Amino acid sequence: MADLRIREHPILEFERGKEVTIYFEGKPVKAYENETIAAALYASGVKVFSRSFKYRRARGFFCAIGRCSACMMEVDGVPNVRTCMVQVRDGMKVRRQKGWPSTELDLLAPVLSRMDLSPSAYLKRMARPSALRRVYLKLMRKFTGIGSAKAVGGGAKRPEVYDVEVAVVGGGPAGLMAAIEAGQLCRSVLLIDDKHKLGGQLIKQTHKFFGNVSYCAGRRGFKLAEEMTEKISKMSSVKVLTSTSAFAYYPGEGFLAAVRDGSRIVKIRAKKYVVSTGAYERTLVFENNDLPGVYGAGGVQTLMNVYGIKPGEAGLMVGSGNVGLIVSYQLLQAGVDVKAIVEVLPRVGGYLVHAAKVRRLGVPILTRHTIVKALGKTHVEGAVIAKVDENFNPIPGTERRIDCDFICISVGLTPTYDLIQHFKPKMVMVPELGGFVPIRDIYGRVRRDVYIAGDCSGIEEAATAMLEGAIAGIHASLMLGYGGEEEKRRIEEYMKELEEERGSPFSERIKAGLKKVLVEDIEKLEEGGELG
Amino acid sequence: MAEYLSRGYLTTDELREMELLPPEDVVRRKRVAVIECVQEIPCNPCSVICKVGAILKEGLCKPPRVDWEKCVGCRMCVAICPGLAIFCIQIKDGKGYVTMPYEMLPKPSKGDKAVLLSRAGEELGEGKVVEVFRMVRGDPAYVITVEVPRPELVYEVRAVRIVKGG
Repeated sequence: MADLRIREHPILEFERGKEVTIYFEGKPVKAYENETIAAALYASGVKVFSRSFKYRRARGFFCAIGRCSACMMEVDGVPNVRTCMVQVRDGMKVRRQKGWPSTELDLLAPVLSRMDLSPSAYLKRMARPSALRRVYLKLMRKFTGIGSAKAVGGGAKRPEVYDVEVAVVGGGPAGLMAAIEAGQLCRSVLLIDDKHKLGGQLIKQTHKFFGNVSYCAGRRGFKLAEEMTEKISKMSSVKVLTSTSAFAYYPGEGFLAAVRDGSRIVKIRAKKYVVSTGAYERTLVFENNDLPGVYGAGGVQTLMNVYGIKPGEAGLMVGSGNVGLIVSYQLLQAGVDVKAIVEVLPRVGGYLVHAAKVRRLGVPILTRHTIVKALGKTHVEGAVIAKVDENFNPIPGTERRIDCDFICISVGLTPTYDLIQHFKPKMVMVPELGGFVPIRDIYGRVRRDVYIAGDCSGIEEAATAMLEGAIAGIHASLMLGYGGEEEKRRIEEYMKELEEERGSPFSERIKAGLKKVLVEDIEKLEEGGELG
Repeated sequence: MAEYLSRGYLTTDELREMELLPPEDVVRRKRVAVIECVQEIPCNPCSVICKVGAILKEGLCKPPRVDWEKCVGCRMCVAICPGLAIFCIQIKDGKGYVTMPYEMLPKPSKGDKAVLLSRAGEELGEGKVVEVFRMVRGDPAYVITVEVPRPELVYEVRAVRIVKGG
């Protein structure tokens, strides 16, 4: 059986836990503790994770961080488990939920692909007569493959309840700093994160950071994550809940609801909330863009740098922003060939120094090029790229084939606005910041008691996220009556640093975006009923 | 738009025009740093780590310049630069020496054969690894010095592919 695990790496040492065996559709699969189910399956050669609802098209993972839901399977009888979020256990039984006779080979897919099903076809055709709705529902559930709920149960457990001064949602760079700063001043801080490990996307950043030395420059992201996690573990004022996803805030009742380890409800009441839930990767429209093997560049980075698993042998990178350039370099470090980086603009999007790193190792950067389609039946076997005209449309006749077994999409990120919206801030669409974001004051307050920090407040860098988190953490503590002049001075300092970090031409867009969302007095707006 | 932005790297001519390459008489006299970083990026590890104040930076974002008279070729900036954009070069006894960061496999050792690569990734012949360091405590990356057969190649070689058992 194939094993895509990286055995030697120039920068990383993979701490694979004990070897365990999981049963995938009855067959034993070797895995290591610390690996997620999705990572272990991918390493053993499984590429098709599920099938799409309607046309039953093959689906692989895309994001590898619990956002895209393309990797859902039945695990020990529980349906719809995001396999990229759950770690393996010895003897675990995993099966895919969709496809007939199997997910790999779905005989209905070719039939459905020839049918023209309007977007709401199922709903319209199967709503009447109402007497048959129950039967339809059962059929539909089976047909779309969203799993069988029969095995789930066991009675409801009492919710865990936390009453704290500051609750931080999301343990990436912003959330970690917020918790560290608040934890130094307040008595009770709760930090929750939906992964099994703190650090957010820092844990996969193997490159050295730019920035100011007095701060974090020259350091590698995963090292920073380790240090901050270590620091927090020593703080008695900070309680950490991992594998805990916040799913709602109830303003009337005044509590945040989360689910822990997929089964236990957690109720959190806090005086101040810091929301730092990060971002998710965008995708791109092209033929076959849902084919397994078309992955988010960040997803590939997770697979490769956190779990030590190669995405394939040769890849195509779409997008030459810093993420695209950095992940290309990291692919080379993992011993994976990068056939080319295509960029639709006439110029490299990221830093020239990052581009130079991959160019001198022989990776071509094709500006004014785009991907036209992905080739392959159940997984990527190649790609077609083409030159584009000044309106970014592919020029007919310039198409050419690239042989690759995966494609990385690196076309930017979008802030996760799901949770922050529950707090009813005023949301605005700001393309410069990556999508929908709330208006806020200079401390990141979107309401009197709610702060936002990091990528979910606008797509930027880890360094700026850390600064925003620190400012939110200190300010929240000040508002609770902790700290004094020294803390005010430190906020000033962090703000100055933030301004300096945003001093390059690369930050012009960010600054223009921030102008649209910064307000002077958020409390006044709240009192005036001008927020959501 | 500058052409290097579509190419993804700077050519020797462009660097020379920007006065970022040390003149040959300096390079024949001593080992000095070459910084191939021209964009405004918020970053300062190079100028902070330089013990002799040879790397000048006006503020966090302005690109650095090297004062080659002051530079002592200690190579700390090569090891610390997050953009892997700093090299040290020297010409000695008719041979060229390029010091560069090396973050790839196979792990380098002294005496290894090195396929020399240009900024564009083109092969420029064969050299030899003559020095291997790990300069930053706790950091697994290497800094290596490669001997190149022709002195003028110190201005061209910016990466290597190491061949074991060469």
